[in-house]
Amino acid sequence: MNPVRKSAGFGLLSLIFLLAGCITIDGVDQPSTAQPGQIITITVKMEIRQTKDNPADRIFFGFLAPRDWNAGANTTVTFSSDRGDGKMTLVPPGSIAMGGKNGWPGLLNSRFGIGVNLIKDLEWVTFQTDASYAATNCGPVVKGTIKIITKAGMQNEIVRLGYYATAEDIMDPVDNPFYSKELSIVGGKGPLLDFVHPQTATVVPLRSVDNDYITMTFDGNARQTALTGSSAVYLLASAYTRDQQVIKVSDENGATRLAPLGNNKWRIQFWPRSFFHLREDQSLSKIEYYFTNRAGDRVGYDQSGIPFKFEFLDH
Amino acid sequence: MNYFNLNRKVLAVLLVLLAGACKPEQRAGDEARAAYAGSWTIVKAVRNLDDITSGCDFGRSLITLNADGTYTVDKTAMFIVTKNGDWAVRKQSAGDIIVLKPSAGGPAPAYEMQSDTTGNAGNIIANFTTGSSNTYEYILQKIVLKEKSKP
Repeated sequence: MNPVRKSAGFGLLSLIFLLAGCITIDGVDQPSTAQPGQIITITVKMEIRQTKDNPADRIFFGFLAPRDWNAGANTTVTFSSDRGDGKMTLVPPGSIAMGGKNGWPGLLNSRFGIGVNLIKDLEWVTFQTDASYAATNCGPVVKGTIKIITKAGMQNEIVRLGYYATAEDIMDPVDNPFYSKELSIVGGKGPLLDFVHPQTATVVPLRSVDNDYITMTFDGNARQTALTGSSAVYLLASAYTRDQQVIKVSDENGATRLAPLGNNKWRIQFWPRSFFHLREDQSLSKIEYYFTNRAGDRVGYDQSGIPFKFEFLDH
Repeated sequence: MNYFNLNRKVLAVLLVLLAGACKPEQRAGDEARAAYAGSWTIVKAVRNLDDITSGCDFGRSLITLNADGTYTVDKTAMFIVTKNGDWAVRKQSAGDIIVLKPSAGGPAPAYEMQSDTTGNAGNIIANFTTGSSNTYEYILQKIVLKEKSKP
């Protein structure tokens, strides 16, 4: 880059961020639907209000998206205002946010988790300005826009994305993320993964191999079923190996019994390779499963008896 | 043959054997291993920054680091290594690195764990990924065997 232009750009940015302090997100403009793998543009409108003197800090921005989007590798973020433009890059792994033991992704995850979504398969991806900026107390409000260009996932999904911004390398206890309205990915592969509305059955992580720990949950409140109000719920599963075998697991030592989470919700977590007693040379392609009780009532994907299905990545 | 010369030769051979049997680096290796030798269990498991400890049965030993430099793993728990092998300690300023080298099945990469330097001294931290993009962090704690109380 031409040194003169670089210097001028830095000057413009410095002017903006001389006023940096508290950032308020006023609104988000994002599409309500997307095709699988579509590149989408999102704009986050915000105001920067200086609330105290600040010697020098970067602008930090957090983006909550489903993990299968791989947003860290598929997203670019820029900042603009009527006083200048800037670029944001990923916060380097291992950098620690002030006042905490974690980096920014860990900090946002521990405080806000998955936000208003219900399935724990989203991640905070964090970006920062390349340069640090000073701020002085009491100054005019600066309006700005963060522009996100990202790639939607390949799965059918309904999700509410999250946005967080701060002008300091420290989390202010009063700051909260902004969560968008629902975004639906339609025409993708696999069954609908609805992060927003209660689901009878969920499995996370969505992108797993049989060598991951997977977590299955049954929500008896999502729809009225024969198991709603049951005192015990079990997993009735068939695992399909890539060498065309079908393995069923019996309830030895209560291995298939789900743990109660309260309020008609249940969970089971296991390592598939051990749970289905795979040989070292075997791997799984999918699991088909029902939830059941001692009386033999069982709940599947729908009323017709189709089981729930979970597909593993190949590895 | 001169009796005195023979004794000197025998003594020299013995000294060489003794020196070979107890090299300084081996002694250092033994001492470094002594701090970590024992059976280790998972006290915390985090998947993709989400604590999954309460949903798993981590009651038993995950890995046993033997004093002779070999280790054995529990095959019923998902871990960074699935085969038994050899282990060693590599000292560095930012905490010790525990290196696991699976011995079975031909050439295999070595895996590393790190001593916990964040306030839980004595624990080991294992960070790894599986065949997917999911990330895991295990906090391992040495199992302390309680001595039987004397009557």
